[in-house]
Amino acid sequence: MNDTDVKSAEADKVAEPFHGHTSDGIRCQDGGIPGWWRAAFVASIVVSPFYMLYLHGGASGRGTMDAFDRAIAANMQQQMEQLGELELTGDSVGRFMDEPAWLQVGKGIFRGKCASCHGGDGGGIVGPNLTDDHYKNIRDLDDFIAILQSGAAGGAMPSWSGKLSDNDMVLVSAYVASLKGTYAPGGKAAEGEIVERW
Amino acid sequence: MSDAESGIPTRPEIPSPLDPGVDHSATADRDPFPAGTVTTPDAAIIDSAIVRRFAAAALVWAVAVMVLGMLVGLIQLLPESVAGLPALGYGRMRPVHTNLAVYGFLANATFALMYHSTQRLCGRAMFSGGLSRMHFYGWQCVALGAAVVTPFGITQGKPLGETEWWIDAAAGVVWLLFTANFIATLRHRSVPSAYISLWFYTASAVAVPIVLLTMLAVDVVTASTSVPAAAGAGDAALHWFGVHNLMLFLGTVPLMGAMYHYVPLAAGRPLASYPLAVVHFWTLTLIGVWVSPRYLHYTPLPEWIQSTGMIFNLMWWMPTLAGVVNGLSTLRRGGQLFRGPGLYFTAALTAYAVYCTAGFLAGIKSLDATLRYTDVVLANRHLWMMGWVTLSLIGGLLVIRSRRLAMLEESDDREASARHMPTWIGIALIVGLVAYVVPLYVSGFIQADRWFALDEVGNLRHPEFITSVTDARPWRLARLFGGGVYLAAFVAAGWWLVRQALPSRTIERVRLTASGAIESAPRAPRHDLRDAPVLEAARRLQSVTNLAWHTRYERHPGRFGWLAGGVLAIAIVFQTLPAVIYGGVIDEANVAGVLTPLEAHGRRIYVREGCVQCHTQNVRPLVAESKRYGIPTTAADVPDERPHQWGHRRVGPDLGREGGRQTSLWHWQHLEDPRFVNDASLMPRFAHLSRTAIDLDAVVDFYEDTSEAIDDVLETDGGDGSDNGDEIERVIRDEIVESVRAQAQAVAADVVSQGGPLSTGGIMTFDSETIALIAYLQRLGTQN
Repeated sequence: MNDTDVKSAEADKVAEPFHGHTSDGIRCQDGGIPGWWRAAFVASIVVSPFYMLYLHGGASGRGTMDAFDRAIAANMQQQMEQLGELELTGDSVGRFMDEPAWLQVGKGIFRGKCASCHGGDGGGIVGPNLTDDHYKNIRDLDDFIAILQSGAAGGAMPSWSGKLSDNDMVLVSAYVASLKGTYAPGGKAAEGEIVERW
Repeated sequence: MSDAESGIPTRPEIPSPLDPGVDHSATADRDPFPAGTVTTPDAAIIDSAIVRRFAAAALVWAVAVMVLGMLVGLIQLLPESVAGLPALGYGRMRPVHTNLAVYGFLANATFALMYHSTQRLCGRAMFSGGLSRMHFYGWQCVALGAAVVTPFGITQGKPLGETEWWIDAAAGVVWLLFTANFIATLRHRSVPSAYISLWFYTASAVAVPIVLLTMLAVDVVTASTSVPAAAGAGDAALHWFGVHNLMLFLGTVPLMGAMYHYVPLAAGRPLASYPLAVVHFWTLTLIGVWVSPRYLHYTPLPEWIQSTGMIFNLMWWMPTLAGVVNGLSTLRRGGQLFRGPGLYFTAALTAYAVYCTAGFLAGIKSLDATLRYTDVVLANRHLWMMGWVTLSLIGGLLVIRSRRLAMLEESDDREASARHMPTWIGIALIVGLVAYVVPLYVSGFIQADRWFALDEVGNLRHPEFITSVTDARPWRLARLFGGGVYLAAFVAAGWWLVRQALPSRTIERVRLTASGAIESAPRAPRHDLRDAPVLEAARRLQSVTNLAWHTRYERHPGRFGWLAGGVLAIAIVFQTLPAVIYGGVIDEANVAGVLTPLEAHGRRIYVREGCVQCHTQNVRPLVAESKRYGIPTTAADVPDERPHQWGHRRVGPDLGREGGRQTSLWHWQHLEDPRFVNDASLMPRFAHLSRTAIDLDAVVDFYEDTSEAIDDVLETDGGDGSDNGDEIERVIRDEIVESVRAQAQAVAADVVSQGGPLSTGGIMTFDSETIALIAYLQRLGTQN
């Protein structure tokens, strides 16, 4: 027997416990590795470098922020196709007061941004009641846009410039204007002056 | 065998570690067990008192954890129930539940099984009974410390990492006692080869102190409080690295080791696959340590680090399932899938498989986009703890009991073995578990839908965040029912285990060879290949694939720990240091300024009250998020965030762009009574803040200790010729106090002019902590 044989013979002897030796009475079988497990594991290793290369291989436009910018642009486009770019005027506001589908969108913006002060139904909490016919700072539809842009009451009503898009300002103004005279139950007492128009 | 046949001595002596029966000169060699010279002993005497202690502690802590969990779940849904008691608010109480679950229950359960299993597999008692006991009592102090401090507002302010530095340090020191004891026991074992379980325990013993070390990267501010040494993205990377790897090496790895010991015993047959176990160990540990960035997708963490989390998450799925396949096949072949202890292991492994798969899916970036921060994450954690950890412990204790009884049977104590744990307990536990986690998954999916659904024109379908709260509420209530069933079943199980299944109070003589038939696996026929060199090469190649080399390796089990620990250290270097050093890619022109002293104090209040338990501060780059919250958070928004407050759940809305969204008066009223502005709100009242004056000394001390802006002040004031340190100190102090007063009065003037009160409960509005918190909230996300 040469050295190699002695070594392999020893290896066999040590390998013996692999099947037969006991540790606290436990033995192991050579059950192998299930084929599906091996395939899935190898596949996960194989695809990983490609994933890294795809994202960080130097190509531009594949990062998270790029994807985000594209998604935002698509979303804008979706809304623009329906609306176009609205002008920030009382006329634009008036135009959408008779379009229930867009009032619904305005309502969504109102509920997300305005309801915390003006109440979910517009009845007023910290901010004034928007469902009566009294207004503190509004005399006509143009004023809705002005108040949204510049704020009011020493900052109690914040400015929404930069936080709402132009279209959003028009739609939420239309919704708020449409609330006039709906008198939400339990709303705050009237503040300001009576406004007859629109 | 002769010892066992002569009956069990009531109080046999524990053999000294320096038992003359073991030749210690041999242990100095690299291989203390030359092949063929040592035979496996038939019997050994083990210290079962330590197993009993840890098991009993785990059971007691578990009941406490579950009762607390029910309370915290109720506090969340009924915030008014603790109005007026700041210490019992959800933000402060939740860490008590989670820390007790990890440091109290999980760790003790792990130790109980590791102490028992290690002694049997090494064929000897622990190296030092004294170290074992110090470990036990020391660890109970750590668990208690981790649990009791957050109600007092002492916290590092990171979800699942609230423990202050001195608790982390104590945990590390106590754990090292275990490491020393374990390694010494392993070195002086009486069997030549280290069985699979011991590899897992070694990795755990070595890796946990390293993980705890990453949690000690802090600047100590006062004796009991600290801020992280790294800021923003670096802090986040280190934090989630720590959380992930602590759960890996404290929860998953050692319990998998115990599974390899107890499942073949429960099945009454050999382990199904040795090669799969080898692959399982190495892939679970060596890939697992790299997975943690998967918790930070869509954050300001540099994207390439997020991507490493993504691919290692991908590669880790199969490794996590390897142990499940091995364990379930073993039980199935033994016909024990649904019988005796097998039932508990089947349920535990199934829960673990679902948990790992759900964690894997939630770690895939596109799914993470909607599932992160929902109750799905919470459901996963509970599935892991209530399913995998708890049921593994019960299964292990039942196996330990049945082996003890098997020995007693030989001494004719058949009465003891006649009693079995009632099956209904196991079924009730499983039913309770399912009834608990399924509603949470449902509530998570409801949250995801309410947050992300867009209508046909591309607007948010549910613009009000509160919709997700009210729609999830019935399911959050329903989970408490499941939790009640589970708790009742667990109390029954615990009662039965304490009376019937805890190991003896002292030491036990155990037989190391199992009774019962064990099949031997068929062996491939061997040929004499001496004269065929090519075939000889093939045969040697086969000895690589048949893992004979690995079997040799197992004679030096310490290496398993050092290798796992080494790769862990490399992972720290590659995955967290870049984020720590660069803090994410920051556009220098756009970097946010540092917080003013008042805002910094507001931030401390935010941390102290545990706001992070319900609010995230990370607007992610997703359409629905930017519509709801604003521009995505970037690294430039958080350059000096110590600790980062990105959060982990959205019980309430994201606050990353909160500044300027609401008026200061709105914040005041909302903090006084959240139900005043929204009657469905789950937020606790923070009315105690308006009745607490700002502690100016604390503000000054904290700001001086943590702010880099002080350096600028020092330069400015040191430049006018004054060398007097006290003088400079006084000037800085005055400047900070002046800055706090001026800003507080400006914010208070806002509140008062908009209709808020001048004073509340004797505290002037401009003096109150509420003003500091509002100053901080109004600053959030406005830095650039």
